[in-house]
Amino acid sequence: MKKQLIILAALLPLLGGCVYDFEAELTGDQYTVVVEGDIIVGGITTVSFTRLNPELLEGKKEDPAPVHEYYSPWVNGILPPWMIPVNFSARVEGEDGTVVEGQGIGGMCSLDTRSLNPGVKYRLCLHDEVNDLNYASSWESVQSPPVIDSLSYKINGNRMDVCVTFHSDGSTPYYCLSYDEQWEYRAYASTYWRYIPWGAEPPARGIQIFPEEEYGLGDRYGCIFDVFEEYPNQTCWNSTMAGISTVVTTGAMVSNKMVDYVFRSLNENDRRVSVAYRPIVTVRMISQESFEYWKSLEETSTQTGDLFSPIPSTRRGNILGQENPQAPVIGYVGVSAAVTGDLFIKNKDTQFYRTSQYILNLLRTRAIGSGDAHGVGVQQMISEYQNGNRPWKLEFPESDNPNAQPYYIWIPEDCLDCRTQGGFTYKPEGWPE
Amino acid sequence: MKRISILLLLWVLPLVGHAQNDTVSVRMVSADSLVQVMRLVSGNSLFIARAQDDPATYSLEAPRSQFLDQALHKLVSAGYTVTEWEGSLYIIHGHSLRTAMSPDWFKEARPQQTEASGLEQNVAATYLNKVYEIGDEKHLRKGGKAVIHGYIRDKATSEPVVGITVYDDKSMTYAMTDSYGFWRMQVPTGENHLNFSGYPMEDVRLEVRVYEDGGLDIEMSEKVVALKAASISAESVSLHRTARIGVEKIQADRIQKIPTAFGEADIIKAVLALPGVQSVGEASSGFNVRGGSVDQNLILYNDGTVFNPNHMFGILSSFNADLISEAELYKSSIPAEYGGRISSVLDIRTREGNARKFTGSLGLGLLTSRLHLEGPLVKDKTTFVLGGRTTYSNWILNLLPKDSHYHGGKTSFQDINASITHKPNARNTFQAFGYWSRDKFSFAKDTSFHYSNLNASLKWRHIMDASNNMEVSVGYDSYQTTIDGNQTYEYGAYRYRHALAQEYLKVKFKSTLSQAHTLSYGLQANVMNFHPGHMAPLGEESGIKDRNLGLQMGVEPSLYLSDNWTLSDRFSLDGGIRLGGFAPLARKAFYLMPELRLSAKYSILSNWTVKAGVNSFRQNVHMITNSSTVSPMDVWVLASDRIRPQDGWQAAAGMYWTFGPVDVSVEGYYKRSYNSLDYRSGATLVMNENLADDLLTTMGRAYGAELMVRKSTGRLNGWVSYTYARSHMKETQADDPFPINGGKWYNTPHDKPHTVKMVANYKFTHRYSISANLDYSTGRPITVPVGVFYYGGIQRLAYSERNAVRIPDYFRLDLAVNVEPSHYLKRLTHLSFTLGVYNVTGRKNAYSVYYTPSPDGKPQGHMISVFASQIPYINLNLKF
Repeated sequence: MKKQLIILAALLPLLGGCVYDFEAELTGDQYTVVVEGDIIVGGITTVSFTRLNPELLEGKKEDPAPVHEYYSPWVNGILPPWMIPVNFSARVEGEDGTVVEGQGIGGMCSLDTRSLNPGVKYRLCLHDEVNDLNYASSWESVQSPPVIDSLSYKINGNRMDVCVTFHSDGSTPYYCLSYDEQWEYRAYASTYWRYIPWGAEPPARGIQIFPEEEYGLGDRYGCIFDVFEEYPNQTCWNSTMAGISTVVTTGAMVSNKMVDYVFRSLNENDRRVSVAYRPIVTVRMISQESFEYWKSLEETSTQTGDLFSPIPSTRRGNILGQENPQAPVIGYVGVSAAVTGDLFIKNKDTQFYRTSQYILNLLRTRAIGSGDAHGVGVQQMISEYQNGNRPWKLEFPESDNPNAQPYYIWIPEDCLDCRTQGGFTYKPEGWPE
Repeated sequence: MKRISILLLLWVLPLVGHAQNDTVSVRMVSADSLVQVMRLVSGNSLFIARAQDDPATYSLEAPRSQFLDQALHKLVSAGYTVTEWEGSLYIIHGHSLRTAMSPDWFKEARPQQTEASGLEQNVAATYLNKVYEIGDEKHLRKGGKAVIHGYIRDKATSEPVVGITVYDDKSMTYAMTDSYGFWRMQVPTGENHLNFSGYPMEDVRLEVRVYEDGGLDIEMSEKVVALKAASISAESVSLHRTARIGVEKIQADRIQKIPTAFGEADIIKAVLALPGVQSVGEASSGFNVRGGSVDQNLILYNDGTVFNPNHMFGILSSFNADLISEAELYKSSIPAEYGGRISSVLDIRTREGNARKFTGSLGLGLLTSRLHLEGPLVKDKTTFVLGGRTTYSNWILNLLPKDSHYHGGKTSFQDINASITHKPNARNTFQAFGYWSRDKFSFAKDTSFHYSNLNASLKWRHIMDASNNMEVSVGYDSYQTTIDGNQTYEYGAYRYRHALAQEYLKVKFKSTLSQAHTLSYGLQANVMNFHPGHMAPLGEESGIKDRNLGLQMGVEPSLYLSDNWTLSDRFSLDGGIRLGGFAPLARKAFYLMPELRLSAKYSILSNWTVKAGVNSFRQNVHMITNSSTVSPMDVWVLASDRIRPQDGWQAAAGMYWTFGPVDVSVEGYYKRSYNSLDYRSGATLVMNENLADDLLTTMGRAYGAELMVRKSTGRLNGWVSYTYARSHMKETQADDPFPINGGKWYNTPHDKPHTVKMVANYKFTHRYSISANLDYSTGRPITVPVGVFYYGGIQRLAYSERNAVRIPDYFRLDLAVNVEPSHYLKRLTHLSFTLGVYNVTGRKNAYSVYYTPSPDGKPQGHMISVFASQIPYINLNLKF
């Protein structure tokens, strides 16, 4: 009997998943127009109108502001420099002759469309006042508003999923979800201590804790006082506006209802959930064309890099240049009625938040030991203060040595001031007192 | 062999010497060794032609004077004959030695029924002196012609030998064995000399006396490859004999010689080494032939259609190389018997199985395992082949970096081949064949993919008479994709299925009307059942609606007729027409279109030929895809009242030279295709009830030239080719105000202008050789973004014109060292192995480039490379 034994052995360093940076040589259309915003019947319509200029990408030398982590292009009117805001006038026209006009400055315009008739078709017309060009969207019917049944959250290990349940009796199963966020948080660290330099007035209330009384404020090194109240600016609020939008469909569902759709996931280290978090979700029904447009944007921007990723391409929206219909315009303007819902998620209820290792490392690496309680190292306090650091706490060394001395930890003032993390000390609109 | 004999003698001699005066004793020796001892003891001249499959050993103890006689007696008892001639003894197994011709040798009656005429390897000189008679001398057609035919089989296994050229010196006509080893040609009556040649068999030349129509079967043996190339290969002969252009034959053993990733022999990788065949990347399913898209290739596996010919995202093909007999790729002149696709046909045939004895193979590897068994159920009449593969490669995905999307993914496949071939007599062959494969993979926790192929067929081949034969086959093919999605979102969890099935009937006839005309005609009917999509809830909490898009059915009948017309020994035509129809049931539409197949050949000299041809095609199925490679999300649809069939045509011309063992060919082509489909960006392909509304019609054009230098024999063999090829398409959708790229021609994803390929084997000795494979091509086109913008709070990419930029060029060199088994025929084990390195230079060839937005506004490019370093492998074959 003739047998054949085949042994295949291979040494396999890598199979795939090897991704390398690739230098792109890019050429393309200049002055592509970007129009964003739906006509909201029964609400305020906000439209943005910008132009892209790829030439700026090559000549740009600085990274755009801001530096904190909650950047949104419309916060404080900041746009990245490659998106040029257009001064324009906007007009919502109805087939019944209704006209609502507004003026756009800095690339944004708000129109009061609260009294529009939902039984009529509308379109958006824009006039670029700098280049004297006109654009118009197609006539669109008003999509009826859905109903938000509930907002909820689920904690799955170290992840919190924020969910929305909604339904509609409308004719199309396509929806656009967007959400804004507001949250309350505290500074990285807190303390009841203050450093008072020598010669300054002592605090109205407090006790001197370092150095000992015998030295007093007359000493040129200053003193640390416990003033029995927290360092100022410990609690802040922040928010994002013009939030992230995504599209979903209930076309495959038994009914025109979406149950527990996760529109936001947060990690246990996310500062948003450290004290209180408020997602504000807006749901509106959109047309099939609008849905496919948004889907195309998602696929070609965020679903790339897989073996089966779709071939990227740009799909035309429903906005045409009147002087040149072939001019590249990005955006789809639909007409809908939106509903909004919100939810307060408090950490005292969830006990979900964990201080991130980043913050712990930050505090550990930036903390400075400062001598012992008996005056050694007390000379360092002035220089620490002048370097922007502040006393934080007393720490006792982990040692069996009975003679080991405790030491004072100083940290940068940034860590004690929540405003340095991008927030404000006043409550955002809608936040309960 | 010699070494063992010497060792044996050294061992035996002392015994012989020791027992010089009394007895000679041997124990457990082979027939060869016994004869050597007989020579030593008797001093006689002895020759033995041992039976190849004789495992017998002999033990004997006899007085010296009687040793020779008793040893001869033992050999005769074992089936040997002993003939004394001119002082020497000839010991032959199974046959006696004729030392003279019988007086009535030339009048010996030969039966009209074909019968196997075995040619013993050890009596190679004899057959040249033997004249074979076909027909009865009493029925001699004086001055006339007769049609002769026969089967050529491998002497060792009795399997048909494909691609053997049969050439008649006298009439200068030729024929070639088909996939059943069958040949037929018309020759003048009287004495003829038939030459049988073809890789990898030993050439045979027969003197034949033809009286009337009849048959002659022969058996051929594998040849030891001559290291000095002295003969013209059979490929060269067929290059100048057939009018067809763009036809490539791939023999099974050549597949083994091409180095591949992980050392797995692969028919698709062998096809990709040919000029005019491209792929979009290493991990891509499917291939592109002369600018056509992947769904425009008809892949036949024993007459059944394979819709997805790949495992593991294209790293391995669906076909077990151990079972393949041969494959033919038609790039231009597609015979009229084939239809249904507009770019190419890859026809793969499996072996029938060893009709003499049971054999098998077992493969164990880090990626795959395979088992195959074959052998006779009834010796020389009924054979079976059974083969299976499976893989267990999840551990590889776990080696990937954790930030890789594929880390922790799972992938697996299994496939099974089974066939039974029954030949009750020389005129009839029946075959039942089945193939099943299943792939499963998942990269993310929430989605898993499965797809499976199934092919089953029954075939009857009948030789009606000397001039006509018929083949009838019926079969069933299916392909199914299943996706389980959203499994981490219980309310949205779903199972999606997409399935294709077809039943077919093929009736083919072949008639040799005369020396000048060979007719092929027949009919084919396909009944297609496509299930575009079924989505169902997955799990009790799922809110997914159970939806079924309904069945698409269509009937595709066709008739064909073609003639191979040899006008002279220089000029021949191959022309045919295929009349194909398509009727989508339940839709008011019927498409009928004749397809022309025409090619011509003119031999300026015996080694210098020019050819030209024009062919038209029709395709009634479309594959709708939104990615550059075949994916489980692709949707197959039938033509309908709203979706027209694809059609196309190709004109090609070529010039061919043969200089000794070297063939040089230059072929140019121009192709056009119409009504291919693209889709609107953002459209939903899955479960789209109005898919036709989201499809865009396109037209395509492709042109190019292929230069190839091939050497098929000798110490150095292989080929090197250069191809210049372009492939473009443009949208022709009438109601689209914004056509892709403004309605201009743009590059297809597989447009690669320059390609250089080399496959080379160099034999240092009969045992040691090296193989090299080189592949260079221009980078394929991609669509790149030209800007970043914010929309909906997220950075988005604005894209340029489609396929306007190219990824870096592709280059790969593979090397392997092959050690063949020893040529000691008596050894129980034969070890061969291959040591190789895939991607010797370690080049990080780009599979794709994609972009992500970045904070500075400039799109950040990322290049994906599948095999980003050298991949060494070892492949061990142990035969015993």
